[in-house]
This record gives sequence, structure tokens and C-alpha cells, in this order.
Amino acid sequence: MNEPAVVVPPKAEASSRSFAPAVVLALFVLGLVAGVTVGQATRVRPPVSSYPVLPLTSEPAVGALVAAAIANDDARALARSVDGQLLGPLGESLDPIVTVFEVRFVGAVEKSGDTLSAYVVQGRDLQGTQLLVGYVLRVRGDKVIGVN
Amino acid sequence: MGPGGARGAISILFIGLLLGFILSSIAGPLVEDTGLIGNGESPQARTYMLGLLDNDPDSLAALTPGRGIVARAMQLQNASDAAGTNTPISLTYIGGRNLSGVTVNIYAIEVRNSRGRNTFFPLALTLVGGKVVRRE
Repeated sequence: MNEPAVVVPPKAEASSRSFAPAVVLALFVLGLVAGVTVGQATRVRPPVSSYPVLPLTSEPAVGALVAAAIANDDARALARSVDGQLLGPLGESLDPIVTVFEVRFVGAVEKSGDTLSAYVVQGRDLQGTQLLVGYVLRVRGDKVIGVN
Repeated sequence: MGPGGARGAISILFIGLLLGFILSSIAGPLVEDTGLIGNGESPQARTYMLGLLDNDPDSLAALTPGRGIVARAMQLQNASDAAGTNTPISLTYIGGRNLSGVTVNIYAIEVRNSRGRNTFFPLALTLVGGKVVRRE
């Protein structure tokens, strides 16, 4: 009667088997990092501007009130925050959005006492198409004096 | 490690590289929109703004979708009329957002007119597919 053959793997092979998942993971992570680096390096960047850049400033309080009024569909609060003559230009800036989902403050710059406070509105038009539009408030002191 | 092992290692490295590159291309704009990295400025929007300030109608035409010959002729006339009337002082990217291929980038521009008066005003560009479809 023959004894069943017992195959004992050599020590080196057993060690390489237990090490393999770590090596695989390390190689994969290395490749992933290299891929992300190459992806970022090959991205098209904006051309360099030769014009000076103004420093960004914080959001004016009245800008936040107007943004909240638009986001909450609160016409009464909007009427209190913005002069009647400026509601027309504001409506044109939001056109063709009729339902607002979100109003996001994206930045502001100040020059000679005037702050330009910029917002991007996400919403949908009458046909239900999702859109993005931007509007900018010109703020002097705590008053909105212009809308673009 | 034999030749088979080396081939396997290179394959794993390559798969990671490819996945990283795709991830970077897809997730890059999304992460940028959250404001964690980058500022969301589109290269085309900056090119358009520089074309506007440098009074370069060719740059503007290249970034404006399908305009007829009359519209392009008017743009050239406007550019030649405006040449030398305004001197740009500063160009500031205020901020923007990207959603499903639509990008809104907002700038502040400061110019000095021919009478020496400075004006400071914003300009919001809406881009779809790398073309400026709305400017206000």
C-alpha cells in the first residue's frame, strides 16, 4: 500500500504567497497615485493673465439676505432687501430660471467702497431644464446699489 | 520574481495608473466645485476675458458658438471702434460653478476710459461645451 504523497511547499514559495496581496495593493496604489498625478499635470490650465488681480473679500450681509430670500422663494424678504428699481435687473439676471434649488455665494471683491458680491443660482426653467445662472450685487455700505 | 511575475506587476501598476487618470479626469471638476481644491475657473473663460480686454475679436469669435457672418463682422467693427478707448487695469476671477457641463464663471474688471475715469464692473460668463453662450 502506497503512502499518500504529501507535498510541502518550499519555504520561499510560502513566504511569497503570503506577501503577494500586499505587493499587489502597493503596486495598485502606486499606479493610482501616478495616474492621478499624470491626470492633474495634463489638465488644461487657464492662460496666464498679465493684469493685476484684486484680493477677494467676505460676503456682505445684505448679499446673504438677498441670496436667502431667493433660495427660500421669499418675495417679501427680497422686496425689503433690494430697491424696487433693481428688482427688474435681478429678474433679468435670474432669467430663465423660475424654480430655484440653490443660491451659492462664490466670491466678492471690493474697490473704492463698492463690493461686487457674486452668486451662482441653480434651478430650472419653465420646461423643467436644469440651469445655472450667475448674478452679481454691487453693494455700498449695507445697501445694494446695483445688480448685474 | 520571474518574467510572469514582472508582467503581472506591470499590469497591476498599469491598471492603477489608468484608473487614477480616469478618476482624476472625472472627479477633478466635481471636487473643484466643492471648493476643496482649485477655483473652478475654466481655461476658455479666462481666454475669452483676455480676448475681451486685449480687444482680440479672433479669440472671442473662436469661443462663441456658431455665429453668422454678419454677427462676426459686427464684432470686428465693434473691436476696431473700441480700440484704444478703454485701458484695462485689473482682471479678477471672483468665482464660479460647474454643473453637468454648464460652467458659470464671474469676473470683476477695472478699466480706465479715454477721459481717464475708472470703472469697476462684473461680468458673468456661461459656458457650455467650452463656448461662451451667455455674457452679462
